[in-house]
Amino acid sequence: MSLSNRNCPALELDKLRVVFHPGTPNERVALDDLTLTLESGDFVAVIGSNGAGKSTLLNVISGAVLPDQGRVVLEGHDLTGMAVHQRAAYIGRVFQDPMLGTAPALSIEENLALAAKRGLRRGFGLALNNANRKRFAELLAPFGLGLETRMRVLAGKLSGGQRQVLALLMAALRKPRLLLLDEHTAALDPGTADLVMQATRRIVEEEKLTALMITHNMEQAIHFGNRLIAMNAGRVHMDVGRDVKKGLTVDDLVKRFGEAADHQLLKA
Amino acid sequence: METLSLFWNLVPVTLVQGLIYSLIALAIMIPFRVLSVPDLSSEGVFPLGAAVTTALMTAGLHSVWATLVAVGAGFLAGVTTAMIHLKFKVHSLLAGILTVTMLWSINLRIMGKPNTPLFGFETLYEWISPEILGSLPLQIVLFGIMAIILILALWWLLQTDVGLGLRGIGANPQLAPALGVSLVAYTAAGLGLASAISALAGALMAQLQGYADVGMGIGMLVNGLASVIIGEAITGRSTLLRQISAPVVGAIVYYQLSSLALALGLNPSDLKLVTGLFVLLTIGWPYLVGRKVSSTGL
Repeated sequence: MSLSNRNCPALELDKLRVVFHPGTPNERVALDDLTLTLESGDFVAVIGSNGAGKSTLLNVISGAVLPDQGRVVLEGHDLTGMAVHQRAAYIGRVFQDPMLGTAPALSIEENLALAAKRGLRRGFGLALNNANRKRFAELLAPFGLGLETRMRVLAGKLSGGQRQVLALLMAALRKPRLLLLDEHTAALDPGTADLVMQATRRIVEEEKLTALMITHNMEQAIHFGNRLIAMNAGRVHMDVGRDVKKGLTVDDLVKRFGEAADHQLLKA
Repeated sequence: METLSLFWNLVPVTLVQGLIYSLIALAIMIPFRVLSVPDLSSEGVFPLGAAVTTALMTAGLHSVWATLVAVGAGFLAGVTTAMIHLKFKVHSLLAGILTVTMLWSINLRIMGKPNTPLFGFETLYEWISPEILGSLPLQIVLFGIMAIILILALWWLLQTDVGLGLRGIGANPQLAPALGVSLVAYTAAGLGLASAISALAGALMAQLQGYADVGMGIGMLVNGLASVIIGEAITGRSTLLRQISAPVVGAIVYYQLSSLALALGLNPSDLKLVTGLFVLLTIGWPYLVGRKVSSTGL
């Protein structure tokens, strides 16, 4: 299946509903008829408190969680029933835990070779050859981590930040129709997080990717991307574009987001 | 001295035995180390290979075809274990035990009786050369070449895109699907491959000893585990080639060691206890001496 319907929005989430433990005292509505549309090239930062449904949102898009209701439509094609490995043809994902984004027992170059076949048929040709080794090294070099000289080192031997940069490159190695970033700097120290965010911006801008980034960091949410969404109780509570975002401060955000959250509390 | 000369005389025979059983050790290493989905169904798949081969050969099929069908049957048994594990969310070890249990009945059905002799039928060895069955040196060369070919084939396979997918699901089962690797397809293929190798061992052993017996798999599993442990202690696991060679090296050493123990007066019926204690001691050693243990223990 090729996705080529360029007139459709990059991503349409149509009334997504996810209820965990339905019919038990632990019942929790994780996504409450959430509807959201991303235009091609949107780089959306998503904030929200714990339990607001951010992770569930990414899991429903990636296919790790199937919605009880609603549809996930990518460039006009319905992905709702597809398995994770099938959607992987169109979606790149970086996990929060640096341990999860790479395969620790494989070398840097093997990780990249594994990612280079995302969405393609895997055959019985050797995964690594001089040509793609050279290409991988050239792609790693601009990040300035020196990884390009350590291609045969196991990914498990890298630091958290190095692994996240590798994971980022792996997710974008074959241009994804959608890049999902799941708090991918949350486990890093501030300096490293900054480095990974610069790398993220570079990749998203150079490849003109459509990206959805969950973050706990309000500053990050303001500084990166062209759109900011705040989630609360499984819904989108605030959705502002680049112009409004530019003028926002962290205090504004806390205040506005706080009001939205209070409003929700009052309603409930 | 007499006991040692007894051992010494048995070295060639034991080497042949070790080389054939090295396939079972390989079949145990692949799920454990490559896929991180431990599976011990070899215990039932090894006699399955023997049963299918002898049943087909006594029915008139050529030994080459009988062996190939046995390998295919082994592959299906591995896929069955994988499906029980993946679809019914049963732990892979328990899934393997279920497969072994069911295979006991299936093996008896295939042969129609607990023991099937192959006398009078042309085996694979006789087909290759009439001299093999009478010559231990020839057998050592034959099975040695086979083991080397298998090691090199696996080494090559695990460096292909498909092989990288297999290692990918083992290294990070959450990441692999996000990179388009199907957990179900690759786990099934990996366990199928391992079981196909076990079944090959059964087919080769049945034709070498001239019969298949429904009980010939008993104890294979622990012997195989011991072989993998010994082999990894010798070769280490620092490269792919070392990891793949370990079971073969380990099986050769293990069967010589047990032959030595028997020559020194160990009661054969105590061998399983000794092997079990050896495996236990190796696994438990780091805990016994209070060292920090990595999370990827056997």
